[in-house]
Amino acid sequence: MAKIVRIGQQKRPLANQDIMKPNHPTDRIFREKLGDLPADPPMHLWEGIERRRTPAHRARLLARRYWVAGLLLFLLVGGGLLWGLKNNASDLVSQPLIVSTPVAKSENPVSNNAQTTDTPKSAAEAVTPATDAPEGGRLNEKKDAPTSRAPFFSTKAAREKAGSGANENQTVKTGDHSIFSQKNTKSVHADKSAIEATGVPVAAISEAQKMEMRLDIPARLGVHSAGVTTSDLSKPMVSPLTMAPEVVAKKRSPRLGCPEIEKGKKFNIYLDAIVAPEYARRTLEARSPDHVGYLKARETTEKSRFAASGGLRLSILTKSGLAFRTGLIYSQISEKFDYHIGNAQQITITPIQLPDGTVIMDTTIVFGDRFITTYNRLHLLDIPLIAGYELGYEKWTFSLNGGAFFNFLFRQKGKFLSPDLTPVSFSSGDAGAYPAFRDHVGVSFFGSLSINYALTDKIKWVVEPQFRYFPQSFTRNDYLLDQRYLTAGVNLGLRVQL
Amino acid sequence: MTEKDLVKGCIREDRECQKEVFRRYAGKMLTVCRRYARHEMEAEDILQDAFIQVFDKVHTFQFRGSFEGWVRRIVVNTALKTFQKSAYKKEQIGIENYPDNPVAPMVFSNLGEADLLNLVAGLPDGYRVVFNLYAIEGYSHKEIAELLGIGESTSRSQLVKARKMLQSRVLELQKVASF
Repeated sequence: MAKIVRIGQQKRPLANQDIMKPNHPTDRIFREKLGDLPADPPMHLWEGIERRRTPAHRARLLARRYWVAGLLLFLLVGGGLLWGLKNNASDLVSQPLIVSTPVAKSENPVSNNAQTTDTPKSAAEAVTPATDAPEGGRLNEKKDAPTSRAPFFSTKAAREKAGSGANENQTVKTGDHSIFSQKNTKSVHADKSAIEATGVPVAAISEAQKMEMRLDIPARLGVHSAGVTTSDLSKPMVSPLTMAPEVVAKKRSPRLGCPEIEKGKKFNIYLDAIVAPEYARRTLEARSPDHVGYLKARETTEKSRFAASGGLRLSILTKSGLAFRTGLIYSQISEKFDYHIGNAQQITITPIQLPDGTVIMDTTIVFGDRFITTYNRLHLLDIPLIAGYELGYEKWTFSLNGGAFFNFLFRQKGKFLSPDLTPVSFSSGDAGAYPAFRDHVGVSFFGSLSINYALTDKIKWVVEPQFRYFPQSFTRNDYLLDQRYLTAGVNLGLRVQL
Repeated sequence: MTEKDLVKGCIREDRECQKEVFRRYAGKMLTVCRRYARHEMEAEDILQDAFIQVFDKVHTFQFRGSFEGWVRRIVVNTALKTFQKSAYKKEQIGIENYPDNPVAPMVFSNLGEADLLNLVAGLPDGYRVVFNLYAIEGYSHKEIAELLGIGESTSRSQLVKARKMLQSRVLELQKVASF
């Protein structure tokens, strides 16, 4: 860019022609009188400047000035947030509600309908109707009589039968559940609060209390007793109230973690259908200082309009949260070319019939300016190769993605100014058009932060702010200007699990 | 407030600093705009557009050289954008239309600033821009050619035509004055 030479100061060496030719006296006079002519500041124009530099204009400026920093900050904060949430999630892991307890198997299983050998008295004492569970659920000990508490019967017949005999060791089966009833077991007063409380940590309950809880709960539920098995303490009790700890933990305290993969599979496969409105920022640079004027001419006559992209993307998501994505993406960048050709006149001749039947020709000539206006389009077709890291939280999934797009089709059509400042057409399909653009734009770099919300088990809503940087010029090396792009937008679409 | 403080304030979008910058430099820059414009309203439009560019791009000023020179460069560039490039190439007025009687430079020095401004304003767009850039701003023909996207020879011929036209106008003024 040329530097201003102050009057009376030579800040740069004169060109040879200027040195050889002395300063023209006319030039000197105009320069001395008009060069630094002071004038009162036209403060009435300040209001016009204030009106045009609206808050929206200033906000746009700040966004354009700091958008790269903003985007990086957004990705950093988003990534940090995901990382922090994942690390903090360990505090939320809960204890299981019900202890998975071992059940003793009896050598003489007793069914619901038969087989206790308790004496009637002991049986009566021992019988505890299912609908009226004893408080605390006691086991009465009878040393002499081979009695055992026939624990829990829900029918009268069953209760009567329970009184008919007793086995030393009985288990009462309640459906799928077995309860241990041991001979000579001391009666234990179960802690009612311990039974009724849920989510009590295992460590706070004594072994005896656990046993009482096991005995008591089916009665409260009105569960039929079937038989009793004993002695295999290592086997877990199966009860409708017993859930796998990890399931219980998840239900009580959802946490950010690796995504769920379908059982039996090593990874999930998804298909994304996305569209994105985008903003395309073009950078024009003159490949030589001699072409700065041409650069300015193109900048003056062309303006960005809009950009958009859309396509299909296949994602493979592993258990560790790593995701790999590929697909086919179509992008379009649109610009407007406005060029003032010059003055023109439009002549319109209209025949007018007079009342007497004579026809006269009314000629109207309109003088005006003539413009060329063209909407230029750049079309790209790319194959993305993207890696990402996903984390899930309830119905939400977050992922940070980065990768490259490989361009395999680039088409363009429109008009611009040629280096001799005349409008010319460029078109990839026309051999006679101005050859400014490359056949392919090469590799572009991609980054995004994806936020997905599960609409159903298989379908998710996708919102994904993204940017794409094209490091290579769109124009050929032999063209005077280097033309590059940076696009930013938001992918919107659906993700379907295949 | 120093120039540096003012610039930093403008970068922060401090309205008071921006107003002070306008107050300090708008007067001189309006004179620059008048030299490029065809009339006063056009000069004011150019000045407004230029200062909007100044405030929009002030964050690119690197505190090297004078801020006034940086503002003047923006004003000149804004003025140049006002005119279509074809104006520099397709001027219809030829050298042969003007008498080849060079006027003594003293004639110009006897004129006031307002008269000189009017003389410059009366030039066709292409002549006026080249004359301003070469004679007053001090650009070389090569620099002018780059700026305007024209050839160096076009710049030289436009300058010659501009000088001849100014001389012709001065002669007319003298004739009118003598009446």
